[in-house]
Amino acid sequence: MNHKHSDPLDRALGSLPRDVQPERDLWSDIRAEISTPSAATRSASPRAAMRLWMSLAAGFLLIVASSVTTYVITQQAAQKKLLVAQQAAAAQLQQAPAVAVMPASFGGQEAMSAEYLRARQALDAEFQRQIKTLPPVTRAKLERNLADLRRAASEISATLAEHPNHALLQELLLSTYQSELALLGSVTNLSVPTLTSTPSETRL
Amino acid sequence: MLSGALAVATAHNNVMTADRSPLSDGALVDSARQGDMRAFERLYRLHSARVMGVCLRMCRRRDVAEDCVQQTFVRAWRNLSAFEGRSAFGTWLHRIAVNEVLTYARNHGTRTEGDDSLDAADEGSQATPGEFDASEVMDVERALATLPEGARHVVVLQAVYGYSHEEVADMLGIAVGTCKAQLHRGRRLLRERMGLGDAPLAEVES
Amino acid sequence: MRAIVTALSLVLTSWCAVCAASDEDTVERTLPADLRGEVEIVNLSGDVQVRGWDRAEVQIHAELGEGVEKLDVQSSKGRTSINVIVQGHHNSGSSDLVVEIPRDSTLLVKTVSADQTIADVRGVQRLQAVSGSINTQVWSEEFSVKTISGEVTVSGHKTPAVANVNTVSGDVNLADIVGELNLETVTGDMQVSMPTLNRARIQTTNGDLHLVTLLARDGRLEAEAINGDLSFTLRQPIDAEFDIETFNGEIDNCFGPKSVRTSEFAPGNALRFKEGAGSARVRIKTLNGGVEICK
Repeated sequence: MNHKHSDPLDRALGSLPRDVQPERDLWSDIRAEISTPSAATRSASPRAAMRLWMSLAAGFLLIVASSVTTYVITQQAAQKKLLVAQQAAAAQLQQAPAVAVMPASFGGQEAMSAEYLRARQALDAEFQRQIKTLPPVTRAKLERNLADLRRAASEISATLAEHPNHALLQELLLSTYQSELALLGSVTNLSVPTLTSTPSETRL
Repeated sequence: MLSGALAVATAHNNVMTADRSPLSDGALVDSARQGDMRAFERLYRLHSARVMGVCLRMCRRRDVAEDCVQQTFVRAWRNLSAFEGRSAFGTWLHRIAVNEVLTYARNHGTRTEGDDSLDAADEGSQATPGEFDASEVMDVERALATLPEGARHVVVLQAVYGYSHEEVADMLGIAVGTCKAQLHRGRRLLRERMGLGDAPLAEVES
Repeated sequence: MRAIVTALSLVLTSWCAVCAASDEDTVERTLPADLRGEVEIVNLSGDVQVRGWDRAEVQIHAELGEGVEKLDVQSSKGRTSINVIVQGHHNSGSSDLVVEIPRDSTLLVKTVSADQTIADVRGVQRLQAVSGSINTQVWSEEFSVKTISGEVTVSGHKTPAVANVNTVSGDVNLADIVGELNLETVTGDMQVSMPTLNRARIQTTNGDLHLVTLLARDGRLEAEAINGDLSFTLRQPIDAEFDIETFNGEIDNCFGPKSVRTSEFAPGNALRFKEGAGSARVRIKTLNGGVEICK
């Protein structure tokens, strides 16, 4: 936010000194510890070596994964199945009345229709199958973003459990579910023609 | 314990006004990498107060904070070869310090940053609205200390030390969304406890 | 003698194999095309540059990388398709395409990591990338841009258009777009400048938004964020009704009215006020994200 100087909270936080001197001089203890080769140093080496190995392994996997990037959905049936699942889930979401929330003691789960949950599950299964074909970096980003969305939905659900029928929370929860469906469906239409398939004629 | 520690520390707060330009840090780091402990001591003198500020506000206990500061510099010395200079040396130190604070918290049973749930029931220590005076630095420190751990960590790093959402999320090992949520929650609690921006209730148009 | 011939053959074969392996194929094709036809381009990785021109032709210059089986170009019934076909399990090298198309064509581009740069194409555009970035110019036709993590940059020409932009984590920069905007990200940040806004629907989970615009009379602006911060700079004259609500966030505004608590028993702040006759409508909702609205 831009109006930091006019906000009393920002002024209050800004008034805090960033530096705080330790009550005693820690240097002698630090010097003593770094002067003697310690178990920590010895154990740091295997940890460092492990980190290096992991980096190399990750790099190798990245190269291997890139080399097998075929962007599957060459099977028309799978693509159709995904589209059907997405449409079913979206339709259920549209028809959902104000999201009723069960008490937190029941885990704060929304009382969404069984059909919506089944459709969403089908969409999720397809999504999980298809992201395996993507480069690891993209896959990781998708999974992180999906986790963010689900975390947001979880937070809103928990808050709704405390404040049932809160219109803003219900609206935001529905939007979050819609965003989740959109993300699950976003890996469709990523097919790129390969020798094993016919060139795509799917319109975007 | 916190307010006492801070009272002493800030009273004796002879902040180093030495040149902290990246140029001087860079030269000192290069020398320290070669084993020059005097150069590393100089880095300690330049940066320890700020690292202490981060540690103390995150963990609230002076003794724990001093341990974290000590371990931060020990680890920094042992990993100097890993510092690539992409960020400022101070920033790199703060990352190590935050790691030390989180490790301590995990090893001593306090709620960890890995628990991303915003437990609304856990509002930190009980504080009454308007208990703290925003114009008094000591009160701001004490109000900050009453925040629940997750919110406090984010507010300290973001609002006090100016790190971005992405940097804070990375340092704490949490999602950016969680970081933002914690920040807003922390700020809301601070406002309440310092009696700031408490607008009157009004009818909400439906 | 036979040994020498055999040895020479072996050397030549190896040399040619190396050539084949390291050779990049260059393809140049020119085909006739409808001035208002459709052009589809598909490429995995590398670069795709598309330029609009005034000829009734599609001209292709392609540098094909290793692992590319062929450049498949088909043209029929006003539709030209250009596909970089990779071998199924080969390490596909990067292929760069430069394509000139009739500027009023409808353009469809699909890439994975290939970046897309589009210039002077005035027809409808549907651009999709996974991690590749997309940089395009738009005029008055509808356009749709989607990426997962690729950055999106769109420059308008202040002529009314319908803009649809959707990313997961890619950042979005839109400038000089006029008319209608549908914009959604999960974590991508958004910088939007619209000389005039007729309708805009903006939704984000964690992305930050900064929007600068002039609200048209009867304009509609809806923006929603879970954790992202939403910042608006509205140009004068402002004739709008504002409905801003947040559960945990803060509302900061330059207009004067202060936000109020929405409930005695729950968090929540709202800011509702009118400027001028209130012909336009601005509706902003967040869970934790802050809202800043200024003029």
